[in-house]
Amino acid sequence: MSNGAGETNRMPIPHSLDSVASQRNRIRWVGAGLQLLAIALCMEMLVGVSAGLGLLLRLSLLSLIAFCIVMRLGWVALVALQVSLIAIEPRQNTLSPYPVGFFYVLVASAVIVAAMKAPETHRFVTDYLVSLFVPESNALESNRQFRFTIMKLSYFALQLMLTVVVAGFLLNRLPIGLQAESWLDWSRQNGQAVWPGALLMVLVIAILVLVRENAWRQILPSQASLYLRSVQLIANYRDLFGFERHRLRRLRKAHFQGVAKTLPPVKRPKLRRSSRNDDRIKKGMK
Amino acid sequence: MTFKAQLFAIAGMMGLFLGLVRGQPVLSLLSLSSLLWLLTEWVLFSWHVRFQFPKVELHRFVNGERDANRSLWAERWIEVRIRMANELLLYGVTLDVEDVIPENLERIAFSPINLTEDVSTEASAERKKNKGRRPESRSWLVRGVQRFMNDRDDCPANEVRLGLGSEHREWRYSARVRAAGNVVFPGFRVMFQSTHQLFRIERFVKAEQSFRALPTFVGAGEYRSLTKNSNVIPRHGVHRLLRSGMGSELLELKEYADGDPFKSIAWKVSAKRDQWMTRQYESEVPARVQFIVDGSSTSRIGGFGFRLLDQMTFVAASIARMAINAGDPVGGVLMDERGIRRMPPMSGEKGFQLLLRSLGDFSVNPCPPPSPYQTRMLDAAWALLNQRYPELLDLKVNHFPFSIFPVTPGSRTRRRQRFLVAGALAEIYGLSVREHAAMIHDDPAFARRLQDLLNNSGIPWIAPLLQPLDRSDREPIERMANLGKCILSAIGHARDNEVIVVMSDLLNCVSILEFVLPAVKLAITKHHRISFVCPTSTFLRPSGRVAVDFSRENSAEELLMVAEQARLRIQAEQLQRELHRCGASLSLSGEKNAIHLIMSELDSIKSGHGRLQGNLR
Repeated sequence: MSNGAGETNRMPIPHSLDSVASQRNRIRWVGAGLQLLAIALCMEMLVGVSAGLGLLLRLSLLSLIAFCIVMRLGWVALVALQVSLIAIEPRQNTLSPYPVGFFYVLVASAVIVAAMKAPETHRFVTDYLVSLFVPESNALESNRQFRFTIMKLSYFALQLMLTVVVAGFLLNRLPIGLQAESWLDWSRQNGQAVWPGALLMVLVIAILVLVRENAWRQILPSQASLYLRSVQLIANYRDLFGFERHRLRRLRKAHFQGVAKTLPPVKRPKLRRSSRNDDRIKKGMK
Repeated sequence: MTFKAQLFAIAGMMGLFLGLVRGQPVLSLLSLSSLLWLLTEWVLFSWHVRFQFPKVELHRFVNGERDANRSLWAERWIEVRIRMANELLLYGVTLDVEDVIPENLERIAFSPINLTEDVSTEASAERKKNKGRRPESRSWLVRGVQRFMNDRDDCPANEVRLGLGSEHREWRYSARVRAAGNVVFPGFRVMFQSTHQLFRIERFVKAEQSFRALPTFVGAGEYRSLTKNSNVIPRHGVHRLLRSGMGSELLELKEYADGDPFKSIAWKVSAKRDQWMTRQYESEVPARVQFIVDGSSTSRIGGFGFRLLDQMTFVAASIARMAINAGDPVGGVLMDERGIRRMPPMSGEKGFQLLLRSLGDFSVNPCPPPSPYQTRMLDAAWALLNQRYPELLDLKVNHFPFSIFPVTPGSRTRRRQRFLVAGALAEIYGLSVREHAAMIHDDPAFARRLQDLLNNSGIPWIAPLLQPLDRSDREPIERMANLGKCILSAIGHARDNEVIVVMSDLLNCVSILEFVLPAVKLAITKHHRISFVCPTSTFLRPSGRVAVDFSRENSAEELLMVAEQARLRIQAEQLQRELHRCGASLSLSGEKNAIHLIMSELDSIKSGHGRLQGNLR
């Protein structure tokens, strides 16, 4: 339908699918496959229980891990590694991890994070492969994305390293597990049996206060108003429910007693159809 | 914290516990470092929410303008451009922004100004390729793979994802206005999410922009006159009338009577007949058009662009355009349950714009008639509140009393939803605690509030907002009585030589036409032309023959359409018979034929020729 006003009906121009785009699309799938294979192989190597299994079972394990990554179930990698460690790691008297164990945890954590981030890093892999194999692609854009992805990766590596180091420090220092007895002896000797408990309690309370304060500061004014409203409702709910029940019962009773059963009828005008007057009107018009 | 993060935390805690108990340092270290990593992610996410989220400021430009006082046109394209005002520091989080599109807009295409992190040309090409496929028909496995591949072909055009490196804070999309009325952009749905999807927060950023949508119309000159034009071209806006007056065209000769002006004496004829004869001239009057648009609730039921009212406004605007082009003034009466609103006769471009504005404002759905409570209403409100007020459905702030009953999970979920929706409604409408409690227990009161919410949010009058079968028996009678009053009012304000166009859904009211027919007869007696335009639910004129091809397999929709057409045809014949008896003409369906009919009526008036009586177009 055409329009009378000055504006024109312009259809938006769709993006054309050129050869670079199709080539890039193919590389995306190859990149995704390679990425999945790399993560799954790392996982398979880290999960030591599979070393003694047959090829078919190992392949099945490999595909299961890849499937979990595709379906964004990265936490399954953590569970798989934990189960493996429960099965194969020997029990020790100390919780201080040895250097190999430390390196193992670092690699395992990196693989877990990579599995969780696989859908996001997929684009980075694609861009990298495209810049290698398709020179006529948008190199500037790829370079820019590449730069940011390198920034992201270094940030995540740093974060990972820090968490593993802090975890190792905590396991070394805190009186938990088998170190508790030696720490208790040391504490008794120095007459400081209670202070760690008090310190921990203060720390926990401080963290809780911080968390609650943070949560409260994120609340919007409408949420605060709704919170007060709902608290008031809960406090007076029994009374309000009684009022409402009474009101509804009264209304229902009035309805059944027929207070306003029917509305007054509409007055219909009298009309004579095809009367002589109608014919006269028609003749007059002609 | 998402469910995925909860599972991750549980796995970490279990592993740490087992590692400590069993004395396995690597297991303990792995589990503890996982927990610490989760903690750092949470801290980072909270920092973003605390400091970066308030910086989110989005500007919307519709057709290149940010000013909301402009008008849009129904059935035309608009281009919406979104720009983020501030630079955000997004480390380890992504920001999903969705421009919430009103129901009166149909989203068409997406054209990113620059490539963002997850939107690319091949994604749009893939989207184009998969256009015919139904997304819901894909299996969960295919959907999972597509999500992994970052194929955002299911991603609607008005959404975008921003992250580190996506410096381009501007994108745009195209949309089409479905119908006249108003187009209200409520705001943006913003979601902060950690890149691993472990933490998530959703907010609605209000950025309301309201535009008036004017009805579309057919351009001038597309419809030619069906009658021959007169040889003498009258002045603009002046037409001949076959009644004696002071025009320039000769109407007849008559014998001289006392009081006739001397200059009108036909000297030659008088000499030939030997009798004083005078010339009678035709009248020259403007031909005016008066619309009566029936916007009662029955004509507003349906999706935008599929309402009977949309057909009526299209016909009214088209005829007004052509009549004003010919210099004829156009006025009208807008009628619905709220009352009668009269538009004085207007001419010129300014008058046409005023008329379109009145029609546009009239097309906005008012408060709907009450409808009984249904669970589908609650579902619709739940979805709407999740989109526009996600913060009010947060269980941390929206508490409700605990109860053991009902026991079944489905009923418990329904009860929980009702309490949460009632709380959110109480906050939105500023209700008292008593009214809040009434909504929880009183179904009609709750239904009324839900209807208000859905209607104010621009939801069309379709189920579950309104049930078409809920109308009372008195509604058509009252409507016809009001229509009769409107016609009488139009006659009261009319001069000679007017075309009264009544646009109303009369097909279901054939048996109660006696409320309208006296007014129609009065209009005919007063020498006006009266035409009825009756829109149909199928948007088609009922054809003369209804045939079903049984040699092939007919779908249920086809059979339903044929049955509906047959029903309409019977009703149309009855209606035509009744109106024809009074001398009025009828056009079914608000399409081009209706415009033809009215223009023919106007032409017959302008040329001073015979009338088109009782034609079914």
